[in-house]
Amino acid sequence: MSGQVTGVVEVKEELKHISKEVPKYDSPEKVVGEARYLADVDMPGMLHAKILRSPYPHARILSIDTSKAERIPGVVAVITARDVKLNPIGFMKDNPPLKSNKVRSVRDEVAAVAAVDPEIAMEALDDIEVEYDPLPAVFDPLKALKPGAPLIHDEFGTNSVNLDFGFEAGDVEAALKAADVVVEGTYRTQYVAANPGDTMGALAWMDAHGVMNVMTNTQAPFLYQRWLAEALGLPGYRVRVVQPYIGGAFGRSLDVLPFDVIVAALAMKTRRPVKLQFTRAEELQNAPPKQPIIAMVKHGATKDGKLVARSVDLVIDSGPYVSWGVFDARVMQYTATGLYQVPFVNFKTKVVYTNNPYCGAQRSAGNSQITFALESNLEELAEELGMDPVEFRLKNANKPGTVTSQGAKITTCAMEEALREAAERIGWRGRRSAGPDRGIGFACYFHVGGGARIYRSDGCGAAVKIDDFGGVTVIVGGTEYGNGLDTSVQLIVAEELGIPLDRVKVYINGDTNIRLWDVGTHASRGTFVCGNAALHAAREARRQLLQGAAEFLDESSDDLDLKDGMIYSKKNYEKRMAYDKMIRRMHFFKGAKGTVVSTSYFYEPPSEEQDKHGYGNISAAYGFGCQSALVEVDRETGKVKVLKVVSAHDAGRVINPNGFKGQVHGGVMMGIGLALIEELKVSGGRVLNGVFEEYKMPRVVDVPEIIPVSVGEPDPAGPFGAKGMAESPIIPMAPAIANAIADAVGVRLRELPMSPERVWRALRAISSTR
Amino acid sequence: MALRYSNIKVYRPESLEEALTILSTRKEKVRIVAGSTDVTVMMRSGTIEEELLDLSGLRRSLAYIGASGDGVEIGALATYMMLLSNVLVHERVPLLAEAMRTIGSPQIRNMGTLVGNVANASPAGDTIPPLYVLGADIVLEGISGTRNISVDEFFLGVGKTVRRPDELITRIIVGGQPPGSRGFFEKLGLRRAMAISVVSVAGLISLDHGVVADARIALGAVAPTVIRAPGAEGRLKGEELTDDVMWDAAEAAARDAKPVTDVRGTAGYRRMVVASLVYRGLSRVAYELEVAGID
Repeated sequence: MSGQVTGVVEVKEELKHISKEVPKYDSPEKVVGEARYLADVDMPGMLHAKILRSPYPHARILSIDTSKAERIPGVVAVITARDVKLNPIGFMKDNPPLKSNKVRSVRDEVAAVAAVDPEIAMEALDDIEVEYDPLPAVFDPLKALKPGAPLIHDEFGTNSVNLDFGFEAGDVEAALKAADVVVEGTYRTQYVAANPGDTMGALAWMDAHGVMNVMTNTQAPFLYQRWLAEALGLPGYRVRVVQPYIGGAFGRSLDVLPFDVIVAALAMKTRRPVKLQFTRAEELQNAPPKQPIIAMVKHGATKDGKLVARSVDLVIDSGPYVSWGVFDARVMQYTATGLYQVPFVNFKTKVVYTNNPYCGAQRSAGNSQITFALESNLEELAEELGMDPVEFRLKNANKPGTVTSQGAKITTCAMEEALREAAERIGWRGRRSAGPDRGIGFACYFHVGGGARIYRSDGCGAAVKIDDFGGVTVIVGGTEYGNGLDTSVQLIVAEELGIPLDRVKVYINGDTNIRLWDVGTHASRGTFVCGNAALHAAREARRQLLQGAAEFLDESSDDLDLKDGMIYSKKNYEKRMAYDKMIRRMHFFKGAKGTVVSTSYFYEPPSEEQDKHGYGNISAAYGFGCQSALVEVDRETGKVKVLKVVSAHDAGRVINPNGFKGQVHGGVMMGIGLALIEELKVSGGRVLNGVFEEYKMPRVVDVPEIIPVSVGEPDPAGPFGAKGMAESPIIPMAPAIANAIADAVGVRLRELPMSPERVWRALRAISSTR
Repeated sequence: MALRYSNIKVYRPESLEEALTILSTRKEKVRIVAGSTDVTVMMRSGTIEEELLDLSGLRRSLAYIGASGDGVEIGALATYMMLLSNVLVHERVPLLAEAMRTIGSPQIRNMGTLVGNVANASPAGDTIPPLYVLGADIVLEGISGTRNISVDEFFLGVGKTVRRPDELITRIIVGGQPPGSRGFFEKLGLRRAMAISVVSVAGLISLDHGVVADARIALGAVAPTVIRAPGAEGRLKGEELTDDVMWDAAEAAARDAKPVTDVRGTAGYRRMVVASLVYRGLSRVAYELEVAGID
């Protein structure tokens, strides 16, 4: 049956909770509708904000008149850059939350209104009079670099962004010259909307202590706290961030965006709670999409198929402001140097300001885009060499105990096993053997699996406290938005303590005043980094518990063990006591010290920041895998149907098999959308298909047979041996499908999405040359 | 001026006379609402009149399906789901049922109405090409009288029809498929469901002793209205359904099409897809007739 999972996630050793299939931690409240998302939260006296955005992609603001809007009954405040002082945001601090002199995209914020209901706020926007002087705009990053192109930021004197993600290992030109075969191609990817169920939003209020409180569905609450404080000119301790239940984020909620700052500014001005949550149309038009790339790729190999060199020339359209999308380049860099064993690599980037929308990170932060370019080009190389794609990849596969040219230290790595599984389970029998108009394609990936040190600290804190009844609360800095971190933390803590699963309550999301710092839940780092923090906090709680028990059981704590909720002497099982009873003894027993078990731990993964040449081991472990796809191509319409996907991942020990399968299903489907269907069509800097009627994502009927496979061994650095894998299944999906299309009908698609029309055009091009 | 939902005036008549009276006074100021699957989307995007005429009070009289001659009569409030679970529809106009099965999702089919699809007058409306080949009369009622308009005279352009602002489509009378004829409906969307057609085609083929006696082909989403494909029809009449004939007809259909380029596809691609879909439909019909032993 289509969509049914037949893959097996193996349990490799006897553990009580780890690797057991359990329901997701928060499913009860989600099933009964108790979970409250941002959209469910109202506060007494709350106002609703709406933002006036530019109608022009590039224009000077000559004047703004808000007087008419202010007179509308129900309007409480109207702000522009004149009224409030807000500091620019973003990595380059090039994005003022409210624009004063110039607008540089149709998203640009010019004014904002707080009113008693959202409809009045909308009405008031119509009554704000702005006079613009439209300027010539530029939407093609290559044209933006030419002399005489309109300048997006006049003060910089160029549209070239002062950010270089280049990295060079060895003399690539010479290596390519010496190679027996060189294949080159240019690959393009598109704007894709993240489209979680939960649209972006924030609810802000100033409390009586002068603290700015913000409830928001961010993925990075502590960076949010810092960046919002900077934008508002407040000390960080006067900003508190609260996360409600979050319905998906997929990386687009890592940044503080202008709307966040505007909502807080309105709350400061009105001294009332102010809320703004995007409608679906606003989300599609204004939320940061996936970063498109233009990648010129060259691979050189010996006759027998050994890779010798790779060169990647990348153009990244920053839009008018540098946001997380541009930093996808850093992830792409590690893939360029890390995917397969390639001795010589040259990775070059050009980051360019244009009047297009600016992008955010989105599931794999650039890796899905660059892997499309690299794995497509590698397949072309394998075809050129006349080699079997699996054999070719096995020959160049990453291996454990190696270091990439960029300094990534590969500890565990089961790429070869993943390749073999992907080939066997899809039914690979060689090229052009899948049946009429059917084809099979492969693609592998290399991704961070032990955090990603893109910030000075890549750490996360966790605290464990045990109450008088044996209830354990673990408070983590990590974020839950559907990713399943809550369940992983619960499993880890219950396993480490040796108690039943239902005794462990996980405090995730919630309050930055209570939780320990975390850099944000992104880069597939939750289970590894936050899981390690929880593991260490639980380990210390266990130590305290056994130390207290030693006194009552008259035994050295080294000789005590805690299993299935029972503390007992390993030498004499007669000496034992249920752990909850022991907890009460330690706290209340007459003459006892009055001990309550509570611990905290801040885990900083053993990774390093890049040095000034771009060298460094940014992750404590790396994830590998391979996906194969069986497709059928309708030659007449160009429509591609994905029939089956095998998704094999080395995620170390899979500690939460249901979570693993869920990520595989989600990532594969997101990958199919990226490969075949999804595209925000941007023209003149504006999204043309910003409604679900015209923006298509795969639906349940588009789901093929998906086989999740776990390969590899426990990783020494991971909690119980786990490595991150949340983003992985999207990474190799598009190239696997592109390679399958090539196998099926002999055409090579180098641009995403591979829509029916593009496939049809490619088919027509080869039939007319024959 | 932004539209406030609370400012929208909603009329909810309890009888047809009341509905027609409201229409006669409010005319183009009021938008008629049946299943609301199009109107809701328009409201969200702000392109809607400030008055709505909600027909839900007329379900008792307008949510019906009945026999009419050898065809069926479909009331204005009959939903796709009602039609799809009706025996008359499957017996007399299976082609229409085939097209309706591809529309939207179960939720949309539970709410949306065939008459609404016609009234909305999108060239991509999936029920319209079948109505063209089956033959249908659109019944318009106003306080001053009733008129029947043939479906091929009903549409004027995208969203434009001959309906006067004071008229309501109360029913559509669809001709039955002739015995021994075979229909086909093919469409290309960008995913397997909930996708507006990039191209749709409907055909109805009758054979007499192995020769095409009558062929009707209609094309959707390739012109401002659904159109017939006279070139293709002419190529088929009097011929046997051989592969050459079917390809010739398919290519003629592509020449009959007048597509435009938009976000869903370019004109050139649409024209080609017309040929592919017509050929696919015809070859399915030829196969079915062969299997059924009708020739």
